Amino acid sequence: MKKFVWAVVTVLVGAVLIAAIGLGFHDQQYSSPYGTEVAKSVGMITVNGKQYQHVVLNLVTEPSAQGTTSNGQIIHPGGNPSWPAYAVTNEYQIPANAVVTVKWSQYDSGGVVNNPYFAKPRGTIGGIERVNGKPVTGVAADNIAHTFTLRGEPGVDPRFFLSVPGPISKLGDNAENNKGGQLVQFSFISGKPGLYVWNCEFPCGLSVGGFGAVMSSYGYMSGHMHVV
Amino acid sequence: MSYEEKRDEIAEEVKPIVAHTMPFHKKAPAKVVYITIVFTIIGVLLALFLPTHMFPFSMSPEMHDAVLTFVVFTIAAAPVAALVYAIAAYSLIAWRKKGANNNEEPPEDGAPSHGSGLITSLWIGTSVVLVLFLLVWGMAELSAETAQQSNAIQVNVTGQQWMWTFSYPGTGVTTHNLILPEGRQIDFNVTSMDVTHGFWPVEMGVQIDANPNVIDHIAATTNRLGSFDVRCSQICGLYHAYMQTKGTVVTNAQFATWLASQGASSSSIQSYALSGK
Repeated sequence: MKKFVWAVVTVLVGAVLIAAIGLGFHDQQYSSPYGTEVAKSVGMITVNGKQYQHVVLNLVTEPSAQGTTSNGQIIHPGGNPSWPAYAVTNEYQIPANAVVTVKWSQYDSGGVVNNPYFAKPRGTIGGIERVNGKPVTGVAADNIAHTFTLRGEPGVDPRFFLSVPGPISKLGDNAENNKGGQLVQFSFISGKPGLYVWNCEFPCGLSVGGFGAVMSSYGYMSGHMHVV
Repeated sequence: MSYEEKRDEIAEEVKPIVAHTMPFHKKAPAKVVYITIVFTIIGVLLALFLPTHMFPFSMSPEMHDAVLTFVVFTIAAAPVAALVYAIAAYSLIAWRKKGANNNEEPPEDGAPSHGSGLITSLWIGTSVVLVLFLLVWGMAELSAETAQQSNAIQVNVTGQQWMWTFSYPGTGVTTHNLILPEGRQIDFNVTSMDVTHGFWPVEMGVQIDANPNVIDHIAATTNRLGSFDVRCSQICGLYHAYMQTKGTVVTNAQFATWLASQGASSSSIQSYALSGK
């Protein structure tokens, strides 16, 4: 009987240990205190002769995650001040099969993207993006701060793919939050409903080819797009 | 001391030990053989019928060969595994000691067996034959996979956290989704921009690591139209689980049209896609 009790206790302790490790990893999935940013509807739009709902989504990238946005919101409470971050949240929501116009204010410094494929907009309407109002088909590969790269989770609309580069701040290496910004604007047609993930493809972290630190931590350069 | 005297001396020494150890059942070998046969049949049946439900469908001869190799190796291993499981199963049932009911301590291990040249020869001979068979089969399959076909085309594969990109040399085309022509050998030149990834076009039946600063080669021949999965088979960081995309096998004409739609010139398409250079 004593052996049986010990066996049960051992199994229970093991289960609790495994559950604790699992919960620990789950907690690493950062949830922004600002919740989900829902794209604003601005009416209807016609693209290639077809009518779509038109929504606008605002993105911001700042050089310091602990700094504030232009609205005075602390981007990443308790976050690493030397790490860049998308602001003010990392969770976004857009409607399915709609034209989404993204207005992206980019304030961070950058450098050379390690794969020139990500120096060009992919999946945008017309294959272009607008940088400070000027339409371009790409950004110089050595002048990139971040990319906004979006795809579905495994099994969700595998043909959908979006990637747009953002040029470095006008202040270059002296980038500061909310100063010297570059306004990047692009539009795309959203995919099927489901959960999508977005992340940056510029090596803006430390070590591991620039994909360590901030790039290997939830909530700074990655997040979800809820397509509903 | 002669061999016989030494043997008798050892037998005398182990006699009191054997008296308190597991009893030998005369019918045990026959029973183990019967169980082995049953287990072997189960193993062979599983090898024949399980792969069709386990593996993705095949889109290349390499995938077909991979499945065939799995089946053949499982059948070859079935009698060996069956013998081990049969001995284990028989031992667990026949020599089980219910110590808790009669307060007896479990018996000591029996004396080691010596002197059966037949069993030793059989054991070594069977192992040698099996290992040689696996080696020859493996070498033949590897040789078939690396054989160069005259109409092969090159595709450069680049892995980076956490995306795959594919470029078609000489055409200026780079894509996120892998598009391939039907009935052609595809030579994949695989590398990585950062850490080690694993290039795995699942239904093609091949897989190779993508290492930074190194170009590795693997080939597969497309033999079926349709889409397939491309995944990363090396845990490579935060979004490894999302490092997957779709590939599509299209006809040669569709492939040429697609290259043109991506901006490739007609001369580069002629040189690359149609001539197989």
